[in-house]
Amino acid sequence: MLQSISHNSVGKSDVVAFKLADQDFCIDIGLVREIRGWTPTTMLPHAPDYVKGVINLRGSVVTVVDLSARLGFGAATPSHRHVVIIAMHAGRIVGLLADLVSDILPINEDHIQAVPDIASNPAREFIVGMITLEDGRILRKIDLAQLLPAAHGVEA
Amino acid sequence: MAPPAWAVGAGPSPAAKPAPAEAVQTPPPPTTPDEASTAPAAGPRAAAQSDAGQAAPTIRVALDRVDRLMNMIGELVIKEAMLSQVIQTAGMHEQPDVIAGLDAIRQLASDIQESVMAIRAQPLKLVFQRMHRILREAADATGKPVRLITIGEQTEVDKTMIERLVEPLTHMIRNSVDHGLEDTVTRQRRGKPQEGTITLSAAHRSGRVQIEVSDDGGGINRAKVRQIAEDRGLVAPGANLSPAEIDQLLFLPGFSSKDEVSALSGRGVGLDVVRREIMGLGGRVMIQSTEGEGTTFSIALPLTLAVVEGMLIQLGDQTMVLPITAVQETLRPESSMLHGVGHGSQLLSNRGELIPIIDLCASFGVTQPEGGPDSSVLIVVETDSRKRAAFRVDAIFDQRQVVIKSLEQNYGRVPGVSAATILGDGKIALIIDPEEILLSMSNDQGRRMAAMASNG
Repeated sequence: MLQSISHNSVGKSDVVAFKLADQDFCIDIGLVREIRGWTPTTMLPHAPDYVKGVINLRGSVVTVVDLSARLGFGAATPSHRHVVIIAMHAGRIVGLLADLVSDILPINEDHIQAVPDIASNPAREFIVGMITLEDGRILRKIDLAQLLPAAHGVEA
Repeated sequence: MAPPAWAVGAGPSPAAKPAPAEAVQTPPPPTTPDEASTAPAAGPRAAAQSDAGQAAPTIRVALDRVDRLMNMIGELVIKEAMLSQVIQTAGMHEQPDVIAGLDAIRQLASDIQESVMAIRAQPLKLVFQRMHRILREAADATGKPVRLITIGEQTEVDKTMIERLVEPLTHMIRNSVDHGLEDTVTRQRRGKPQEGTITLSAAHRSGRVQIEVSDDGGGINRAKVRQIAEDRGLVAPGANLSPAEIDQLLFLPGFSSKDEVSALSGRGVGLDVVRREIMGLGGRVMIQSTEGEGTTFSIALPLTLAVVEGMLIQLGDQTMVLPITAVQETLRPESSMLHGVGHGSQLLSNRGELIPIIDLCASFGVTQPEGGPDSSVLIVVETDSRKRAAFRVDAIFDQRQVVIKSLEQNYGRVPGVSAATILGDGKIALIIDPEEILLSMSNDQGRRMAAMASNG
């Protein structure tokens, strides 16, 4: 579906922009299923510290990843103002905890710049590109594949 | 994986009843609501009895349709629990018509759930019949005369399990013929009938299905098993192993007690595969063996893969589910029953038996509220491998059937947790795997063996 959209307008795609610790991030809109408010999670024992737990999404068990902890900003203390972005990646559904979703923006792929070398920043490995917006904000585009726990959780 | 379609009903054997499989026939007369409320216990066994008498008409239905129905019923059960909680909080739970309506819905939901589970249930006969041929082949290949006795082949289990039982049972039958039974000469010398007997039996036992493969062979030669395991570096030489622990060595990958490779078994694909398959079905395999008299492999399987009867327990701020099958008793210990051993570990002295106490909050890393051990409750559990422990939990509040939801689909395996479920308030609760917790608590030897056996 997304494929056909991007074919129609070459080099353009939409992203969902969201905020984390006053920085702007975005992910490809094709990955996003829905956005919902924060609900308390059920903890998962022996999980990495950035895994907040699991929630019930209409009958399926969905893991919620604390993006703030994952990107090195420190663990979030979620309130009802926080949002969970439900995304689909490699056949698995995952929830991403963010401060707020700001916009849905059309992005010209030519405008995505490579990430400059920033030494020893945990966020560096999860960001695939930077996009400068007209109002001067910078969007950091996130790579879901790097972000998520390995396919078999904590096994091995 | 699963064949596209299968017959609804008690699964008559093709040989006994050549029903036209393709033709869509009249379905069994639908149960009217009145009947449903007067006879709510029309479970799988009742269905089997009514089918046994005469050739009941059957239809073939695609498996995914039944699965979809099963999923929706799971949702219905959850929604019903949610609704009754809402009514409780709204203060409407004292109005008789609300209560009556809710009770009726609850009764219907559980009836529907049972009926769908009965649709999925099939007799083990389907697998057991295939085992006759497997046994004949194995007997021919080894030149040992063998007789197969099957008991309880009308026992019904979930359709998915029937399919996945074929391979492990085939393996176990071959194993019994090849390794279990002695050759004719030895049997004669020991005063046994020349013909060996292998018994394949199935029965419902306290909410589980127990399948046993037993032979009247020589039993496990434990000294030899130990020797082989030491030679292959599977256990440290001179390790202190109980007979049961030595038997468990058979389940290690790469273990083969046969000196020479035979056409049937002993090629490295061993009982570890059987164990893995059975564990994948939520079951366990155990061995009992008496030297000179024979060996019995027992498989304990859950009745269904979709629902489990569980005890809802409180750990810190989390609610978890402990499968009821493992629970032996619950008690609020007096301080005279608790004995500390070294630093941090405690034993429960219960009617003369000393049982190790496992603090579930600690094993799951749940932050415990103020209160200390005195305010907690102990649940004595016994696993299929006859190990006992007392789980310390903060509170027990309910016992109910919960619908199993996979954790592995969207996340992965969690140690000590078998699956998840959704509670009445819509929150997720984890289902505890007592066996795994006990294994991780036992000594290093056991832990290493368990890890090797389960990881393959």
